[in-house]
Amino acid sequence: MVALIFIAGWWPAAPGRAAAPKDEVVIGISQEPDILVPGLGGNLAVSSEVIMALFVGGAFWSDELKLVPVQAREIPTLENGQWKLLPGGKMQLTWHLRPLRWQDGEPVTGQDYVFTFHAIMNEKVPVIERTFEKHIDNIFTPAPDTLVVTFKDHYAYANTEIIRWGPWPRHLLEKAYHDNPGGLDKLPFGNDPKATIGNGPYRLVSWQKGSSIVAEANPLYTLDTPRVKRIVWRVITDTNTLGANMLSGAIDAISPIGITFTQGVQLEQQIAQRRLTEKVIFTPGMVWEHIDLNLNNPRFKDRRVRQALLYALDRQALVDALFQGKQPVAASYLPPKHYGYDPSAPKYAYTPDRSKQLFAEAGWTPGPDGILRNAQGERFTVTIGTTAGNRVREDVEQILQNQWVKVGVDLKISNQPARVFFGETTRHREFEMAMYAWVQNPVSDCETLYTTDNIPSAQNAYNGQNFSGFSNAEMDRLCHAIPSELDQAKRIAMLKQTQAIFADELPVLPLYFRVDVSSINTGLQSWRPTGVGHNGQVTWNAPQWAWGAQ
Amino acid sequence: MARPLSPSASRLPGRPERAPGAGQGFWGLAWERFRRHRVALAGAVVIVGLVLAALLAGVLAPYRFEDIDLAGRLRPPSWAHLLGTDTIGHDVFTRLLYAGRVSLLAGFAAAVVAASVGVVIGASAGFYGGAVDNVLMRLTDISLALPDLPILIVLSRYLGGSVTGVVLVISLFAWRGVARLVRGEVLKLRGQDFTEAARALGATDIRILIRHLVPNALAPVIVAATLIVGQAILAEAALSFLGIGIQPPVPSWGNMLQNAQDFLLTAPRLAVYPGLMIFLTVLCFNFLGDGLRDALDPRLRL
Amino acid sequence: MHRYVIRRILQMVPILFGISVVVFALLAAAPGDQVDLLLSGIPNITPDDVTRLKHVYGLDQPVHVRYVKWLERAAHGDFGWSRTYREPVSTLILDRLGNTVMLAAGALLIALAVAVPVGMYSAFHQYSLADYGATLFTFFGVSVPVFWFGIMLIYLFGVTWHVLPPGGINSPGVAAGLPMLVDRLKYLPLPTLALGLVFMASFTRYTRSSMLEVIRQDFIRTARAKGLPQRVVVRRHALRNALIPLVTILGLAVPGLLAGAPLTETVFSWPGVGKLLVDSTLGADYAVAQGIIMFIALTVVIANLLVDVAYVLLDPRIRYD
Repeated sequence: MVALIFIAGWWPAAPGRAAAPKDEVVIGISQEPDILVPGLGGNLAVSSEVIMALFVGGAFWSDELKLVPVQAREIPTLENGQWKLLPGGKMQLTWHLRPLRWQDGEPVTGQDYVFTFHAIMNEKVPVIERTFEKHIDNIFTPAPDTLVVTFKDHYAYANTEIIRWGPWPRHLLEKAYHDNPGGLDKLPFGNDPKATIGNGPYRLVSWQKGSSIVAEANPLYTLDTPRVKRIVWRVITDTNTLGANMLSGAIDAISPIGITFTQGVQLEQQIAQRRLTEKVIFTPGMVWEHIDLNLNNPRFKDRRVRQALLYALDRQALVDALFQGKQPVAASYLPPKHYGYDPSAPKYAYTPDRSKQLFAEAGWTPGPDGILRNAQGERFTVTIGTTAGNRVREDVEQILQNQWVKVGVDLKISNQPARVFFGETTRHREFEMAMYAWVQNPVSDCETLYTTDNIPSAQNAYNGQNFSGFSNAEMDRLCHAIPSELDQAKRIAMLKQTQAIFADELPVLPLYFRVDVSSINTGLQSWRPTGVGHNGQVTWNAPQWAWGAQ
Repeated sequence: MARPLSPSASRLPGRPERAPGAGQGFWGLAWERFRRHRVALAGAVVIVGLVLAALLAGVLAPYRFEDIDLAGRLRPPSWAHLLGTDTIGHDVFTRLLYAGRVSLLAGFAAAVVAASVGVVIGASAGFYGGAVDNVLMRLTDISLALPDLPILIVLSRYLGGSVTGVVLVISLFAWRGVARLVRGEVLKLRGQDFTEAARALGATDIRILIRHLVPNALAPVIVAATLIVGQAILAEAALSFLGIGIQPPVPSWGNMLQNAQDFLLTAPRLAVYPGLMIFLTVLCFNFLGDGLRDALDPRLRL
Repeated sequence: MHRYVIRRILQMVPILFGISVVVFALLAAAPGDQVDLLLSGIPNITPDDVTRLKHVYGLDQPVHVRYVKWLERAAHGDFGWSRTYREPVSTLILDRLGNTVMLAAGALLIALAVAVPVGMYSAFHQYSLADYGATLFTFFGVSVPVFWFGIMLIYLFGVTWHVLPPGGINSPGVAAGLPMLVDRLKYLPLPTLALGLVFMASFTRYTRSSMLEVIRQDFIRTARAKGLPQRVVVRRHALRNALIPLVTILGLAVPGLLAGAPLTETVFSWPGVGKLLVDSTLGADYAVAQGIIMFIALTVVIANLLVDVAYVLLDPRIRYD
């Protein structure tokens, strides 16, 4: 947690870098996977980076957020006829698999997918999340290389995966699963390199806990030919040491799960100063930082107040000061990379006069101390909370405090540890302003975020993520319709409408989008981070990584 | 933290060897002795200065502690900013002053709470003896076997980042020494004549304790409390440094130090100042404690 | 003696039991656990998933039920399972323990290497300038915040002068065997010095005062009166007698070293038990935090016992029955 400075120059330069043609890529990573089985790890982002090199499934997202078939021959679509609508609102997708083998030589068949699906749906198996699988009605395999998946309802993203996690090798795990489904995450499979039989371009050859993970090209992999023979992940938990290792050339790359944004900027400066051949890559991400306004609070009930709050913020100055402008100001809840992003949504540029005017219209005028007061004489004092110990967010809070006080808003800060903040405060809506991030993905929409029935309350057992308590009939209609609208163009139109409503109503104040930071030696080619967290890791195209002069 | 041993087990050289003149009363004698302990006197002066600076922070500080100048981040010292600005444009001098307020408050409050709890527990144990003594001392034993910093880290989940929370948690560990000390003193005094006399005159237990026994144990408690102030300031700084003590935007020397870490290469001064303040303050309390022990408790001399 | 030791060992049981109850209650009763943390990082996770996972992990059971289960398993040496590291807690602690022991031993060695000669010199030259300086040093040593001292060491030796690595425990990719050993040695000095400073200070003081006490005793005066040279007096008589209390101080320092480890290890990114405790508490990996605190408490209790036993053995005047 405590990061220390970059130490420049202490490490000797890596010996003989240019001597022999490199056949390995050494990646520095600041966290360690907990288990290498798709879907079982607790720290998904970290595990997935390694897992995506060891295991492949039907399809995944490229860095351009295009769906790429992997074991699937092609992506089923309504146009190619492999996605069929059934009577009663159901659907059926047919996937054809390309031949592929597990490392032990057994073929990867539809049976493996079916087995994995049933395991994931078992209540006792500690799979973290299974949103996708919940839409699936049935899955069966009429032939070893064919999978038919039927869906309970119209689900727009049905063709993004065959199943969300896996497949897992049925012939190796079935017995353990039947004996003790709850123990699937404690098997040698996923921990011991010998027992971890994958089907991906690389195979696990060693895992020294706390130190390194080594994967070598899998000779049985037939879907592509890995250019680099070996990938080594070095676990260097001290992020500054990680940066120093990059500077010295001891590692070839820093994983997107490596250094912080601030460190990335410092690393870039160091590289420039010493004219090194490394580079730092800032990949636009899908992590959206924002402030939820609790709409139960009488102060926030008036839309003009919410707009006034945003007009009073100079978010551009904030991102310039803290992030050198590299993390862009957010206008709405969807990131620019998202297919439904609307670039024309109102931006709420910094206009303090407009802010004061809106406050005045809503009945808030400055008192003798400069703080806004309403007709009843109540002061405009609100409390913001975020995850304690997150230094960037703490800095942002203090900047907000300073900017808001200039229009007469008195901001108090009260932060909590993340587990309390997310476990209690946001979930039970016990906040006035809550600052945190949503990790969006390529198919994110607004259904769980901004519909009335997703306002968590005792009645719905605190289900849903509409922590603001935003309730708007048109928004409800659109957000519920989007996931079942199969026509992408119509979906985009509806998403744009939701962004317009969002920007007008502002139940949430958008702040900025985070970027992923990674670093490579410039000789390494095809390093293409996706910026999509664990939905698409930098390893998505690992077989194409290669060394070459550049 | 992790002070295994009381910091005042030995005396600074240069202390008085000669017994001071008689006929001045206990406190007069004590003052005579204390005055000659130059280092302790210096410590006391510095502490008074620090306390004044903290109290007058509102007057002395050129800015408010939450003021930010986004365009003027990480500025070197200048007339506008005596000690420069920090990573988001706070005036460092201002924040040091206000942080001193938090640290000293935490230190004094923890000392008062710990001394009070320690006196009550120690006096009860020593005075009543038997089962009460047994239970209270076993409690102290358990508490002594608990490693302090690790437990503080665990307890930090309940702090909520407030000064009160931090003070309470630190006090939880500081009372033990006082309790032992008072118990010993009370045990010693309990059997003495004046106690018996008071009892013969019909004084209640509580009255005997409050009027006769506790005041006689006061001197060592004062010394212990002084040292606790220093220890508590260190503990507060450690917790805030780990990010689980006082939360921003309220400045404390510990959290200022934490914030400075990422910028050690570009602005090392940000890490130097708060650390120096902690060091100086704790050092002065340790000097003061040593002087007070010499002055108040000459029996403890080697 | 035997009976005394046995009684002391039996006394440890209720103390450890009490600690385990207190710590478990503190850890388990607070709001929020590791599953709640998942909500922050994973986009598709729903509160439904959280409820389900809490049930799978048994986190939805009442505290006392969980405690009894923990106690049952702990009695068999099973301290639970770390959900962060996917390892049994005992394995995890044992893995990191070596690093902490290395750090603590280094700190003790540095502390002793400085404290014994300085303390002795101080005692033999009482009220000299050097004595004055040494005593001031002891006050400095116990007043410096260890984490700040660590940061300053890093700044000076790691950043400004580039002579020692600023943190971590070894360089990646160093071959096993001798190169690794040599590599490790570069990482030790700064953290051991940071952790050792406070002990250096207090040991100096104890050496000085116990040496002073010995010097004033009759047999030393006799030895001196006999005309024995100072060096012989020191070596043959004074040192041995003065070091007896120091042995017990060493024992008492063990818990202090373990308690001081979290700060030092955090500053230097030293993968030991202390950093593990900080990380697991912040990351809500309670099985690990509980295991480490129990382990430290056990060490403290045993160290206290050993100190008392050593006292009896070293000083025949003390008797217990």
